[in-house]
Amino acid sequence: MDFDKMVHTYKSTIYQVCYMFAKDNDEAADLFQEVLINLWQGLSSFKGQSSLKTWIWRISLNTCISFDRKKKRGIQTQPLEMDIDLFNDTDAETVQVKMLHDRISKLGVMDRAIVMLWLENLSYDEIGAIVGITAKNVSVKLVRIREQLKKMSN
Amino acid sequence: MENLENSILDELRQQNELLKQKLEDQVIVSRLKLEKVREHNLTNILNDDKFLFALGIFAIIFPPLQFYFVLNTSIYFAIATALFMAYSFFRLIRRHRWMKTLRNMDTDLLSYVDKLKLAMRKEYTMRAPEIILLTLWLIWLGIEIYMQTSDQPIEYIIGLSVGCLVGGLIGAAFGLLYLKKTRRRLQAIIDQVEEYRSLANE
Repeated sequence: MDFDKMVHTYKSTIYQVCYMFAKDNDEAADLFQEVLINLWQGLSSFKGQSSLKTWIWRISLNTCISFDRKKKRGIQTQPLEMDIDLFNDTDAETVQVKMLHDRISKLGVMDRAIVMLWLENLSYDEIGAIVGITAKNVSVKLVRIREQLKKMSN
Repeated sequence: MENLENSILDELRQQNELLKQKLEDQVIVSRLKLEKVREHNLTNILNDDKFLFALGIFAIIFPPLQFYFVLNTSIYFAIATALFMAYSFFRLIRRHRWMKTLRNMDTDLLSYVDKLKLAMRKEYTMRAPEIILLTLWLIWLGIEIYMQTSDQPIEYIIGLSVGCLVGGLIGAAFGLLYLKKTRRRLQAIIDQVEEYRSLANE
């Protein structure tokens, strides 16, 4: 699989994950670059045991979950080229998207990953395979996540 | 209670779909990979030059001495050969400096691609004056060899001619391969940048 094609096809998925784990555009750009680096380095060892999309979800989520700005060791941020600013734009759609971001970013990092995958209509087994827990564990966590989201709305 | 939960989850799903829609319409490209390709290819070109530097110094000294002391060509031909090699060496140094500057350059992509294309046109193409000079030098070499070997047996002449021809062909092949490889590397960077710019303009 050609790396350029892969990034072009799944750029939205990758950025979606980075957006949910970032506080602002700079951090989203940092995360995006980190994910790309990890995808580049891991592509040669991807053996097709899971679907490419699942693999990309896994790498993106693992990168974002373990990303630590203090451990960046001076990684230079290269600018991303986008016409929208999901953190600062004020159009109605972006406001809706920001509400999603505000709710999900209040969850723990693992819970964020699980709820994002659940919103993608993945099965509990698929979610468990990506984040590395059992399907039963996923269902238990989702119950707790729903409780948390309800409390946030109240 | 359950209705509240369901409505929150429905809202989240709708918002998620909105997010995906907004992102699908965007071109999200990273310059990081582009920089890596540029760095990789230009570093390879600069590393190849190190070998050529050593070869260049050898070429300024050894062939003229061989021509004069072994083949008994005229001193003028030996000096002309040394000057020709020195000129090539000077071009190599200039090209190397130019490539180093390009590798460390931080500029907008349009300027960068223009500079790369200029480098390919000026530094990595054989120009007409150089081809003419080379042709003249080869003719002069032929004359010098003829003058030295006109009273030698035919086998000597043939042996010497074959030796010169083989050496010349190997040298030419080596030079052309290097040129082709370098132009290919530069073109790879240009292609990447053009692709990046076309994605950004979609």
